[in-house]
Amino acid sequence: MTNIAVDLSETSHVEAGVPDTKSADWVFRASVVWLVIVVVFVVLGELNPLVGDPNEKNADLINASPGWPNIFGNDSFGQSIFDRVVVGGRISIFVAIAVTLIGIVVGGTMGLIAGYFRGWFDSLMRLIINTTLSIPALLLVIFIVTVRGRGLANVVLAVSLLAIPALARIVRASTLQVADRDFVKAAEVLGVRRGKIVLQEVLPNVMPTMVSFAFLTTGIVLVVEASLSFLGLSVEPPAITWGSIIAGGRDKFNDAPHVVFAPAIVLFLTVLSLNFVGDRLLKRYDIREASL
Amino acid sequence: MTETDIMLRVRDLVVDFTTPAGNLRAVDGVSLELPEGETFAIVGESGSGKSVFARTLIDLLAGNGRRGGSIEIGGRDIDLLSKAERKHFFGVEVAMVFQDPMTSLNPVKRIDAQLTEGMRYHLNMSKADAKERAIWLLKQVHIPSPERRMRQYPHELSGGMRQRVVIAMALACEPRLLIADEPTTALDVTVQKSILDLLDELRAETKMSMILITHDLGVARGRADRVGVMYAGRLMEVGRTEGLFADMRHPYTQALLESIPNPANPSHTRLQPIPGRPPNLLDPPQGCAFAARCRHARVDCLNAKPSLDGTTDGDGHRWACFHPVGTPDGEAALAANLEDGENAAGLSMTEVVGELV
Amino acid sequence: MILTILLLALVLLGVWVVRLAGWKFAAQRFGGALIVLVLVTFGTSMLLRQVPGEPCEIALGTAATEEAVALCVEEQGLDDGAVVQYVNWSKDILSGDLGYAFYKNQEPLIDTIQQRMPRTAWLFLYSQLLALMIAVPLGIWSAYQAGKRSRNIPSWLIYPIVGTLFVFGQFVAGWRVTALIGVAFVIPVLIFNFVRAGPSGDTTVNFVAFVLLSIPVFVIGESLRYAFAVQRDWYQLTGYAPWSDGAAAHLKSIWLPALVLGLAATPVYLRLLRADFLQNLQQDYVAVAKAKGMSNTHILVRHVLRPSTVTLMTVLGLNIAQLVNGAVVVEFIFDFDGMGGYLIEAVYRQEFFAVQTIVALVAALFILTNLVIDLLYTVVDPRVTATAGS
Repeated sequence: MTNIAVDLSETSHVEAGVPDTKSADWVFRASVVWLVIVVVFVVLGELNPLVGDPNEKNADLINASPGWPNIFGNDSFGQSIFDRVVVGGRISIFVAIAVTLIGIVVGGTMGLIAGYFRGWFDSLMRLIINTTLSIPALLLVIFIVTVRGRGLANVVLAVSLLAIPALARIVRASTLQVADRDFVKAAEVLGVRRGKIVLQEVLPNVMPTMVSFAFLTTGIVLVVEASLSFLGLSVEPPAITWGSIIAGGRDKFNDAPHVVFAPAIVLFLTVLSLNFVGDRLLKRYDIREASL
Repeated sequence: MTETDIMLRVRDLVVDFTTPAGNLRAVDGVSLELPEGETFAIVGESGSGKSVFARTLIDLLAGNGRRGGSIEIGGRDIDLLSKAERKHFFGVEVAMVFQDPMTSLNPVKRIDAQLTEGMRYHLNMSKADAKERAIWLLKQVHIPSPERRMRQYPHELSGGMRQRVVIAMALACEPRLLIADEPTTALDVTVQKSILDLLDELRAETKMSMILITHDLGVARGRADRVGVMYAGRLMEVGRTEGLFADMRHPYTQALLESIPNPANPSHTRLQPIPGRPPNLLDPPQGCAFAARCRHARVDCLNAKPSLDGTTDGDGHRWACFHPVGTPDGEAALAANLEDGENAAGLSMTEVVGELV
Repeated sequence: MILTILLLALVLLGVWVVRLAGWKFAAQRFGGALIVLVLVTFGTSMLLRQVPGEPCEIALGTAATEEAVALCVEEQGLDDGAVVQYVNWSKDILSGDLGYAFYKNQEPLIDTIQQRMPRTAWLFLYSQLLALMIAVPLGIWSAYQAGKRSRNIPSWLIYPIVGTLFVFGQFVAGWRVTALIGVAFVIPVLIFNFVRAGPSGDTTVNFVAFVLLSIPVFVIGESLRYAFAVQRDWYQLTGYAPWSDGAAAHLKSIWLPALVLGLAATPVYLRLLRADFLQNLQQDYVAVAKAKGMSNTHILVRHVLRPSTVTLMTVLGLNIAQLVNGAVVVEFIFDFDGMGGYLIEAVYRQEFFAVQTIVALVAALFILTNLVIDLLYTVVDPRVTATAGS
């Protein structure tokens, strides 16, 4: 038998991305569960009885290893890493969601309009997108934060400036595809108002792509914000983010590696889950777009 | 006939594909024998399994496919080939011409590279010799200014020329069996004739045997020594061309012929398509695959699959039908169905027979 | 030096493209790039004016006397309109005056760049080579395996995988983590393998790539720094040693950051390449080659790899952006005296002008590189020229 993937059967597809169907289902469910857990913990924050004061310093517990009841151990000030991760997650996740939302709303709208109406707006859009994406992401964000100073608003602004064109480009591509379909042309011929067509015919079909990429973008933003915090350029202390916890743990790595590893693992699992979910959703809707 | 006179012998070939939706049987027990120097045309609609059959002959089975039965080319069973023999078998003893000349050629490689590839690998020819032979091959397939064409890329040639190149490629190592999978489907009608003529000419010169896969009955009739009609992975009727067309036995063959528009008919004559759809190969029917759409279908047709080896009338004309066309049994079945107003599968006879009722 | 090479390549390619596809096509491409270039650099100089407060004051810090500030403002053109400022800035840049690296001591930026750029360049080179060396063969193998529906990893592959995981776990985080890896991943895989319901080789590779993709660069960096520079002495954070100090010293000083950057880039390459290889494998001409009886190796190399060189180039080009991001982080982690490290330092010191110049230059480099790749496309893929001008 030959081994080349010459595909003759109509029903089988070999696609890049998340693996085999059966095992992927389980991973998908696990990802969703994890995401829910994270969101719940983060939203509840200190209201949760399991979570204490992240800034509470406990001299007895300096550099304590993970165990019970300190699931993640303590850092060099005796603060509970678990508490810090939960509370720190607030900012990290908030930034991620906020930026994604802004990206979807602003970028998505821009993409829709550009993709459907074309014309000068489209050309302008493409120029803006190409321009903004010509600067490596982190560099742009760093630059903006340098110039405008640190702080939550500036971080969100900076990363949004990145997310908007990226999402706009994706939505535009998807809109172009949808606008070409017959049912849209039929609506145009029938004389339906263009605005209505966009909202009722085009948008619902572009939605799946948008949603999938929303998840993927959230993951990316999370990483960008964490990198920024790690470099010390995100929000200022005493605000905590996952990146800042990791950065803080660098010096005492030898004594207390868990200070770095605990938030790193949480971050990693969250990003992984977001990627999984986004990728899976993409496959579901049969859109053959490689991520970015 | 001696063993070596039979170029291709297929016995009970079965091809299954494992898909997420279940097992798909694309070829369901096909047997045939092709003597040396002859052309065997396999005719069928899309989804009949003819392409899968063709590709299986040249051992191009997808990863999720499995094959049962035996294939002997030039007297050698392809399953019993040693590894060394296998390296220089496909492409040398048997070659294939694919359907779409647009995609059969690697777009980023020049013509000379693609032509000489096989020769240098199988026949161990030097680069210069291979190039010379390539130019000769291009001349054989009637491509003008072959030296110039050699250095060109596929997109610089027209569709017809590309198909000629593909044919030249297939013939490079002088195969004794050529499998042509719908070689003219993707081409203009005018070009079709020239390609088919070319194939005839080449065959006459080299005494090559050919399996011609097509959905066009006209092509089959005009170019083949033998014809096999395939439906849902099985051969429904097989025989020498003249005999088969003069004296059709299988209702499917008849329906196929009748569905072709006939210029001799007066204008506005209604076309006669075959009603219904091909069966779902993931869940094939228990009886004859054509029963649901057949005007001769009786109850026995729904319960058992008729075998091809059943009836014959000499000269190798065989058909797989319980109530064949042109026999008293068949006529009786047709009459009974007309009276009932529907065939055994519930297909309304007015739909089937159309204006002839 | 890199700049000269790029410009040379640009000119050569430009000429070639013009010959292949005509003036109009070349003009479109060059023109487009130029517009974006101007816009981007203008944008960066515009952003300078966004600084709350007086950038000159802040940059000068304690040396901010009135005269010094006034001088600075005049030099940097902050007094003039935005466009004038930009034009003057461009003129300065093009004539080689890049301003100062550290405003206070008036060290020229161009010296810093010349000193540090090669280091970062080496980092790029080694890391991408590493990534490609892993991603290309793995990608081909993976695409090749994808057609097979075999449902278990060949057992001989299990042992090296398991072994690597354990070694890695031990290195990085001690026995507890290793045990965790064993329980969470390895044992289920082994069970699946015996029950004959496990994933195929391709799936495994794909999955691992996916996971690796989700680990942020700085996490990889920190973990490996801990494993090799803190826990053990395999890498010294003593700074960079150039080739002139001897090959061994040079490589010793750079191997870990290069490894980190390479590991971060590998899954990106792997995914894209694998997708491309897969697509190629499904083309008709591959079936044709197979029907001609060509060997699998031959097909994989000549018919699948070759058409993919185009994608390879695009991937390399696109990845430069990621590279830059990664380089900044990695250099920060390892205290590596490259451009990335300098950038962070400049940011901390609020050297606005230097930061702006660097960002603008990097963007310019990026745009130019993309242009080069775009032009290379035209040259390598004959079909593009056929449709040029449309």
